[in-house]
Amino acid sequence: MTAKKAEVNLKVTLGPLSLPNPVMVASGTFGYGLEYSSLINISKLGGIVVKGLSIEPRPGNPPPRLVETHGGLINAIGLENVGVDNFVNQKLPLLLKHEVPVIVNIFGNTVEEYSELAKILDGVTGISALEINISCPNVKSGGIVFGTDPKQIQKVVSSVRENTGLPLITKLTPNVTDIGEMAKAAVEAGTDIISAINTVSAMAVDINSRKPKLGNIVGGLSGPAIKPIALKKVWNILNSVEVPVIGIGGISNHEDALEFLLVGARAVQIGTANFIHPKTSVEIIEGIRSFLESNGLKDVNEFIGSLKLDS
Amino acid sequence: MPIFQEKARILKNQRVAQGVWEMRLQAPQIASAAYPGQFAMFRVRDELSPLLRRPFSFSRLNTADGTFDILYKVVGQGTRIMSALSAGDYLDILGPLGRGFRLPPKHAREIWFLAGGIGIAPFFGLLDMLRQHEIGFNITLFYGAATGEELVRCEFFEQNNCTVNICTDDGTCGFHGFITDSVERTCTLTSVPDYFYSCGPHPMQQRVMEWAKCNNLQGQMSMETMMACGVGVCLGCSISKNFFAGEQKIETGYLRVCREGPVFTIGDRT
Repeated sequence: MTAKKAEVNLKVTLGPLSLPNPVMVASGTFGYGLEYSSLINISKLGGIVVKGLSIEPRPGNPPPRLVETHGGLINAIGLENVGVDNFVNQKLPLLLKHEVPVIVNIFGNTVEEYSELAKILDGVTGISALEINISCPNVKSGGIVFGTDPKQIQKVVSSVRENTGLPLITKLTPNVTDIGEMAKAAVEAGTDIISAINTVSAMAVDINSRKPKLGNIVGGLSGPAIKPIALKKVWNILNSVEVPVIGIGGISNHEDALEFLLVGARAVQIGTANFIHPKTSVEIIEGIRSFLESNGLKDVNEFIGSLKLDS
Repeated sequence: MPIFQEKARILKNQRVAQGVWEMRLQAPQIASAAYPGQFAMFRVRDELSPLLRRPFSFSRLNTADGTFDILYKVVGQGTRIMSALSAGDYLDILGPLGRGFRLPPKHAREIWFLAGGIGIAPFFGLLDMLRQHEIGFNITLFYGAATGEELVRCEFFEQNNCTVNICTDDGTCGFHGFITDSVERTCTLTSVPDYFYSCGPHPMQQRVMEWAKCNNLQGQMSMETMMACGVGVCLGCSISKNFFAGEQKIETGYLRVCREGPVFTIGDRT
């Protein structure tokens, strides 16, 4: 009889939010959670962050909405979504049949809309956390307009905080001079967790037609190209605030995910890689487990934040 | 509707016209679940460059032996990599995806196929589907290409009792002009189809839509757009609902080519 090998612990705790493992799927890259369910066992995920929701359904931006670049994808979707009521009544009940933490990303045009969304979702059973989107670069009002000004961040986050007891994640944009200042504002206003980064502002043009390649003219860059930027922004945030941080940006395999954990992110979200290889997130979880095992670690928390700075 | 991810073995990969290649793949799960007009997302290599998968519609489905064919035009990095692959190589494929072709309504006998350039691809499978049906449809193919060298397998349609009208932009073969010019002339001078199917570049589809509206025609259009996911989550492939709206109607909002399409019904619902 061989002794059973002790399971590596992958559970992580982010303030009030506990996750079975540190690998979530990012908002806007996994729909409302079930689209990929015939390809992967979504119950294995650390969490699903659903597409950003507004109070009313939004049609989104005129096409073209996508441009592929070297190692990246520029999008200008414009937060097209079914609206919070349709999500709660039609999408969420199906998603809750799977045992996976559901995190709802919320978006408003005004501070009042953010607080209204928080109020509505606070009473809904089965939601693990809210992620406040103040970082979408592709809409005219709201979104990044709030996320680039510490005073606005405070207004939005505190209005949401006043209306929900759910764990609160604030998702920050990299398109600022000092992301640490933005994180401080969010923390002072009551966010429990920071997630970063959203897409990097970007543009693409066609020299033959002499037109922009996106209907919205500008968009946001995601994918492997932004990973080093994301890692540095996460590092900045970790050096500015005490709350747990979720790393997002170009993570495509378990080594990428481990880099974010190494600098101190308590969890990660996988975005664009889901489009290329839908099993990415599940494979990253297994990859992290194997890495920890082969390095003699029994708990992912031993690895988190273990970056060696003195040579 | 289940989606499969398969490591598909390439059985053949050959040039069939100027800039156009045909690939046959062994992918039993996808081939047996697919129907004409649907598509699959191809990962052209196991690296992150190019980053995204490429969508290709099935040209023919061979359910019995678990294979399918695609036709593709070499236009960029992804298709260049594909054209260098050989029989025995493997490709990671996601499919079948989207809504494919539906049968015409019961009354329809005169069917027109409108194919522009590589938009000919799904018509091989559609013809297979219609020829299996008990009704003997009269099928006319309008097939346009930039030049005669780019035409693919016209004989397939001739052998399957279709009337074939070729159009080339440079006049090297058939009618000298756009396929939509030929369609509009034929439609005015002789008969009107009971139903049509079209697939081609966006400017062609815009003119097809105008022609269909003017003549109050019903049909199905297979649309082509840039895609990231192919399964309905990224919302990147959307097309304006207004594109398909009838005369004087203004509709707001968008449809996902990968989920509500790629084949959209025009005119009255069938």
